[in-house]
Amino acid sequence: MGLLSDPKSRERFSRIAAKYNSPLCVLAYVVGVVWFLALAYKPFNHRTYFSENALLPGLVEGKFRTENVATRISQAMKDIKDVSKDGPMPVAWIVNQFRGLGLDTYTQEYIQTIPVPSARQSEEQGKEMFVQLNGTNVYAILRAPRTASTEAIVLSAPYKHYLNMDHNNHAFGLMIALASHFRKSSYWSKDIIFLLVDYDEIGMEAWLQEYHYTKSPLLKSSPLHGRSGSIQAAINLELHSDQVSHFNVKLEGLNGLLPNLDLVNLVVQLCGRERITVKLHQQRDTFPSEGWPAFQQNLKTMSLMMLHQATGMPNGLHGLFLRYHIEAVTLEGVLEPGRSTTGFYRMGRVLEGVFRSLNNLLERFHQSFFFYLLPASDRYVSIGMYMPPFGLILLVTALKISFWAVYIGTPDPDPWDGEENVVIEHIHSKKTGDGQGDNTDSKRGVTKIRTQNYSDGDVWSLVPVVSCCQVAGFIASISPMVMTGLGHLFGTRPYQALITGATGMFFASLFMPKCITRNRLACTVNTLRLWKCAALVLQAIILAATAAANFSLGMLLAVTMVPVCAMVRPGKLRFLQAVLMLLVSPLGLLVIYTGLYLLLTETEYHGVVPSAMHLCTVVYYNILSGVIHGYVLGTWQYTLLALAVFPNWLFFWCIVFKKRDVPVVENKEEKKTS
Amino acid sequence: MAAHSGRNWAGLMFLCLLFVSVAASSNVEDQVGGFFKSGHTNNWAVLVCTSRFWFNYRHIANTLSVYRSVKRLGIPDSQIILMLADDMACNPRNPRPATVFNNANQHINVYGDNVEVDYRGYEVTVENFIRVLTGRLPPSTPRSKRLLTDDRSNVLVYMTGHGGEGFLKFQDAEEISNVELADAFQQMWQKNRYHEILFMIDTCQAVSMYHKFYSPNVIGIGSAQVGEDSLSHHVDPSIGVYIIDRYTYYLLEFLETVTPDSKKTLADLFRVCPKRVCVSTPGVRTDLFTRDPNTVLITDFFGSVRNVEITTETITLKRNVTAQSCSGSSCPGSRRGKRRKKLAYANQFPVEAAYEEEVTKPQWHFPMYFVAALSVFCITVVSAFRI
Repeated sequence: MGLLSDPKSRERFSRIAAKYNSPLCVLAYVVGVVWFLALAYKPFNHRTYFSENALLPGLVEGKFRTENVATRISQAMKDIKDVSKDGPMPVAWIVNQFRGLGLDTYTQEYIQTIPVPSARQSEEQGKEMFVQLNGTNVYAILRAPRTASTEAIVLSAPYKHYLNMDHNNHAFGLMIALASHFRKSSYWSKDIIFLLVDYDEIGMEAWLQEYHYTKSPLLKSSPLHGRSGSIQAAINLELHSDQVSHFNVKLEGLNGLLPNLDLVNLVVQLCGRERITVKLHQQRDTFPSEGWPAFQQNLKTMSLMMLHQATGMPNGLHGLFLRYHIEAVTLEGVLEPGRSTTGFYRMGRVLEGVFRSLNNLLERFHQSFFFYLLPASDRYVSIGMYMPPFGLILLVTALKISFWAVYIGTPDPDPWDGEENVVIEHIHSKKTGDGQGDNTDSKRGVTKIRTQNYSDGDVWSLVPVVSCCQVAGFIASISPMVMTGLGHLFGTRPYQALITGATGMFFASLFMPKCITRNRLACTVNTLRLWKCAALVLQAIILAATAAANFSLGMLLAVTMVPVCAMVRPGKLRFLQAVLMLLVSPLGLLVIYTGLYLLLTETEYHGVVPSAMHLCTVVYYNILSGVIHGYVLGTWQYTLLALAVFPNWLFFWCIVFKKRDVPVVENKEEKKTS
Repeated sequence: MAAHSGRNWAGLMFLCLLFVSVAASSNVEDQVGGFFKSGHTNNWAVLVCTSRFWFNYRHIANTLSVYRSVKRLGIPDSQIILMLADDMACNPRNPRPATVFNNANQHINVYGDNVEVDYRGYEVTVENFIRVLTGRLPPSTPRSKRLLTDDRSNVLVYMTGHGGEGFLKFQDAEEISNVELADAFQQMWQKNRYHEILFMIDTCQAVSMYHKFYSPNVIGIGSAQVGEDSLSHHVDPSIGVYIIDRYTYYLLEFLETVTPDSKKTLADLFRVCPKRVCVSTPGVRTDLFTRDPNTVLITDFFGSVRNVEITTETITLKRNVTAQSCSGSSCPGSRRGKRRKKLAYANQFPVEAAYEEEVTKPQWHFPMYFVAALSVFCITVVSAFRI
């Protein structure tokens, strides 16, 4: 130590950090938050640009003229659907459509097991206890005429099964129309795979897993009989009608992954070329782009993006491609009443342009940003711009750590009423040699004095509390599974049991401080300082790591948890602290951010009680989908919350409720002298 | 070697002319005054496109267009070294397979008949380019891939690609710096490989490539100043790429008006692309060039024009004046008289030398640490025995 750094200057720094701790913390937090919010303001972010030269966006003239095919096919598909009602996907008919164009067409069957006991089948006591979904994907490969099939691009569309919704027949129509147009051309340097997916994400996951030879124990699928090369990019298409007013571009993928910004730019630019409005999260870009209303709008778009990203759940089929490092976006054609609309012709031209640009690619997307936030479709905030404010917010935690670390080993300047005065008296009396007053413990024959422990905190006291918290976290992470198993025995509906498991563990663990205080651990003021330090260090690590993987989740956690957790200390204003802590608990945060999301998406307000009910419902479904997606698609947000954030929060919760003991310490000197 | 034979042949010609000049009288000398005005007897062109990839289609089109122009003006394929770093005609992305166009009207397929690409694809490297210029090619290289110039050769060097300040990128892997290029030209000069060079380059910051030149009789033309980008001219929407660069576009427009007998001079060439149309500012460097660009014909570089004047009388020729005009020791003419020891090139792969070295050197070789360890071991053993 001290070879390369001057310990004195470091000391000075920590002294300053300790002296002006609270103002510095407030300053860092406020500056961090304001800075971050200001990034949505136009002068503080940048205009998007193309980093990849090879794309050559929009240089080529569109030649798409087969929009009548799209109309015909989508109508035919609708007719089939009307006849079959809620039947399975018309696989044979779809295969015929692709074969009719002369494409290599294949099907893939799969069975997905969802590890949730099925309510229906449990009565039969049958072999299959879990919910099972089976479906058939259909895909067709347009082979590039003048190259080997070493690379491919994918145009996918989900076949939706939901009742009283259209099932994406327009997207299929457009897909067939594009296929019939594309196959006439000789300039493809990559194969084009047209993929119609059964059951949204699960079907897509089945296809991608099989394509990349990855296996999942819960998903069984038939092998792919036709293949192409490595997939470079994918466009997923969802059309709600044959006339759309705008494209909603969906970016957020699995676990908060985002597609390369170049692909997003490409789609946005080509839509602009065909004069189709592009929206992000149904939010229109503002005009004029500067000023207060524009800032509000941009901030709203950015917040919605962050809220979506933080969930880690893909908001379209494109999200699953991202796991395989395949850049993908979903184009959702939305019909908004009262706006001018666009038909298949221009939608087809946009997609043709996108595919011709992707065809020009020479290597994988690698140039532009993978970590960014979009306040508008043509403005971006890159990782280099949003990390400093996040760092400032984490600086609060760092300052608090240094503050508490400096004070470990010093007496409490602010002793509690009653207890400490007595202690100090005893110390004085010990110094005068009159220490054997009323504190002699006759049981063990050793003189003990109640004293404040001035030594460094007891590091070993961390072990039980941290491990207790971690065990609680572990139980929380497996509780949905355990509870659905148990619920199955008692005949509870699986989803209810699942929710009960997830939330029940949370509420049960609120009583943990009670159990911890009962133990025989001596908890002096320095031990508590040490606990606080350790909790803050853990928090900083968890938040920084989370932000590196999923920035939005890290930021949303940091912005709420950091100030509250930095403030809590045992003793004073315990009730207020408890309320604040509950607000920033994982469940509390979920409620808060769900409420924010509903507020931003302008869900209709029907009074307090119905809104609260609605909020509860949405929270319920969020937890549910978080857990289910964790099992089916491998999102880790629920696991992260249960295994890292929740134990850490519980640690703070314990600190709030920790009673400071005045320990009984053996007085060895006394024994020797006597 | 082929370069030797080329030079010998040229020397022979020269001696013949001298011989003729001694024998003949000088009645029509005025008429013949302009006959050897340029001082060159043959024309060569080195046309280089250094960039790969589909989105650099325009660089291939640039080079092929210049190729087509110089060929039209009379330089034969045997005297053109054409280096193309990529094959756009066969690129799967090309909607018009087997063609390269230099205009959206698609009137001229510049990759049509009789295109002889000497170096293609990954053969286009800095090393190969320098070797071609300096004549240091492996003996197995065919004549068509050699620059068989002599001290009476006017060489047109046209390069295009992506450049920066002081360098030009070759493929995606390497680059040639302006110092390397200047040294290559100096070597050419020392090896009597040119008479005059017209160096023309169409890249971003192009003029930086000729800033370091120091060899005589070189003209440099660049499409953009330092700090400027050289821009493309227009897009062909049916092919979907930028199809030609601005400077080359206007250069070709100018060259279309040139015929083998045209009297257009280099000064006209310097004006082909004013900033108004070029957007970038083309630059010219003439300080190394001894002749007045206003009197130098375009066809001295862009064509291969043989002056044929039929006279009924025998003409007495003097020694070429322009050859003497070069200064001092660097003049090729002054060195020609000296008889020099015949030089041979070092083997590119010194296999034999290495083999000999291996044979002559002792086969047994102990590393130092082995000797040290052995001696320590011996001492230990000896001392152990003594104890």
